[in-house]
Amino acid sequence: MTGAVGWLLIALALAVIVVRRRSTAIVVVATQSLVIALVALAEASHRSGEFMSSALALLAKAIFIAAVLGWSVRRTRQDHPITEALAAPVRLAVAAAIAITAAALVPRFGLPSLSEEHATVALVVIGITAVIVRKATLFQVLGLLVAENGIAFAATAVAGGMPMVIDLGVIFDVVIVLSVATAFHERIFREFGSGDATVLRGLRD
Amino acid sequence: MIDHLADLAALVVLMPLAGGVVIQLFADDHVGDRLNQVFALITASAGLTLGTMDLWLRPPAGTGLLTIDPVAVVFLCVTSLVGLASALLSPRYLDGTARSFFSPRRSRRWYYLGFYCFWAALLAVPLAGNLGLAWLLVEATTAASAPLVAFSGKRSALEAGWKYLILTTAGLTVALLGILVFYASAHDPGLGALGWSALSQLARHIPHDVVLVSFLMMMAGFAAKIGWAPVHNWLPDAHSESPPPVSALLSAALLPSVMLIAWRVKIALGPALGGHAASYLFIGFGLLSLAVAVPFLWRPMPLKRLLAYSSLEHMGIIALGIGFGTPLAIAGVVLHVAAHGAAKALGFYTATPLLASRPSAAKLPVRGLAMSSPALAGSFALSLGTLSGVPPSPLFFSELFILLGGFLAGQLLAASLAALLLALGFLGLLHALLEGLLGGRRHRVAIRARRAAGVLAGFGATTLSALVALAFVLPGSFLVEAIVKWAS
Repeated sequence: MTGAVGWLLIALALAVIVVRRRSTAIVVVATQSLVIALVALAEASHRSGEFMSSALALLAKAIFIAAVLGWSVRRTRQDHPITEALAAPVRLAVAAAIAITAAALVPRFGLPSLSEEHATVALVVIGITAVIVRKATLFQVLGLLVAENGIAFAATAVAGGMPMVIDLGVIFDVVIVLSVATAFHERIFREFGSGDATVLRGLRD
Repeated sequence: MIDHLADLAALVVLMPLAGGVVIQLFADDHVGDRLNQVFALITASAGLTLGTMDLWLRPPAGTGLLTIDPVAVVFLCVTSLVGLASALLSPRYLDGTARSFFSPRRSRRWYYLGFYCFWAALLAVPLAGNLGLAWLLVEATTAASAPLVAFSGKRSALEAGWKYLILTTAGLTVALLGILVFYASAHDPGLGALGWSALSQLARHIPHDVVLVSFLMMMAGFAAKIGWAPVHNWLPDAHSESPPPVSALLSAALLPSVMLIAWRVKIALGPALGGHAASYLFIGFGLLSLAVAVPFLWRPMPLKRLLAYSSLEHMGIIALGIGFGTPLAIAGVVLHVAAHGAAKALGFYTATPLLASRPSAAKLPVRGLAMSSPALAGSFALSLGTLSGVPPSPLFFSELFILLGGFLAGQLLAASLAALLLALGFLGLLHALLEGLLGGRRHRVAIRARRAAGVLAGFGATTLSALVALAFVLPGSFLVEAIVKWAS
């Protein structure tokens, strides 16, 4: 079961690398967050009460992500998707290669199954790769959320769970950072007329 | 009395948060500025009192969420003082701003909210008794400070703020993965497993390769936030585009405080790694940061950008001191954190009256200050002279301690390379200093700006003189010995 979930999460992460439309990518990331929340809720029945609180917070986070980013996309409508520097198959190949390499380099670190560990590392690496290879500011935010989803997935799998204060603190931090990033995205769009991060290259030495 | 230290620590963190919230309730800017002064004074007083009481009472290190050890005291005091000065100078900066990231009606109040949330998180970072809590607080500083970086609303500020937000968040995500890898391997559920002393005990029972991978991830992530090369790309932009009071906090307080967390991780996991692996990593970051920063110190650039590259240089020096780890090097680290904080803050504060009287200084190198305003020239010279390390600057002594500490540690090659790079950096900043004072044509400087610069120069000279005196008593002092004992 966890193997299938891990592969699903990786597939959704790779989808963020290749999809063209921002709204599609938001649905993908929100789905990914929702899957993790549902896995946590399913686990919560035979874990502590603190774990249930964390699981509910993950669910709220998934809903918040979809709502905030969806609202932001409506306020920053682009005539057409931003043309990427790299073609989608190239981006996919790069992300997959880096994820496979990273998963191979990280030793076993105590999650119940190898597939969970690989999925965790892959999600973090694919998320950061998305930040690098995608030009749109909103896609860079989504990349960070994918990476954070990797952490959240591992946290649900850790024997005994992560300390609740850390779990909730991380979720709170992510929500705040997402809010700030969304405000930046909208301001950048208003100032530059585009959500293309390549316009942000004026500062050089 | 020792029991009250925890209450005082809570006050140190809660007071700035309260200040940020209370200021929101008043639409009148004058009332907001007065409240800012009040809360800033109370916060700084609480921070300095906590530090003083800790040094006096010398309580045992905390084992819960809070730790008030001697090394935390140093960073806490620096953050308290720089935060106070930044808060008191903020109204002057805000009076001169025309546009903002925020709506014009509320921009001043948003500034104070962001500033006080940032300051609260900064004050809490040295006091964090737990790696997980430390990560949360460092991430919180990013969320609070990113809008401040972009506060001016200019395109360049938006770019700087965006880079800062994305790059440091990505880095901290990698650090969090490292923390999770360690925690999952420890098989010791509970918040206590991430306490500083628990980390070192647990690390002995975790496979070496797992400790190594988790350590490297944490260091890579914190390096991105500290601004060590090669993950420093955001630093020059963020420090140069931020409002000067915020730049001072970023450079003098944020970078060293995050470095303290990296230092704590090194102490906790280093023994399990074996050999001097952890120390070599710090030395590597230090040398690389110096090597990257020095060429830029030779290039003509606006003052704030020059100060930003100087921060890259000085974070490299501190990393070297931590990596060398000898008592003399640690004395150098303590002095360097304090003196760099004072000199760098002075430099950024000087930018406020400078930019008010000469807006072109935002884009062009400074020229001919000596002809335009002796007070501005004095403040500028004091800051850049101190940062360059020219004797009798306190940074001259701290760098000397660190280099000698490196030689005593047997790190001859690293210390020699560092000495060469420091010499080149010194010449670069000296060149910028002389160019800034001489050359160019005379500019008119308003009386208000001259007075502000005069006050800054006076305070700066007093503070830096005190730090020079401190240099003579610091090595072998009980503070340094306590920190050396903690570090070993």
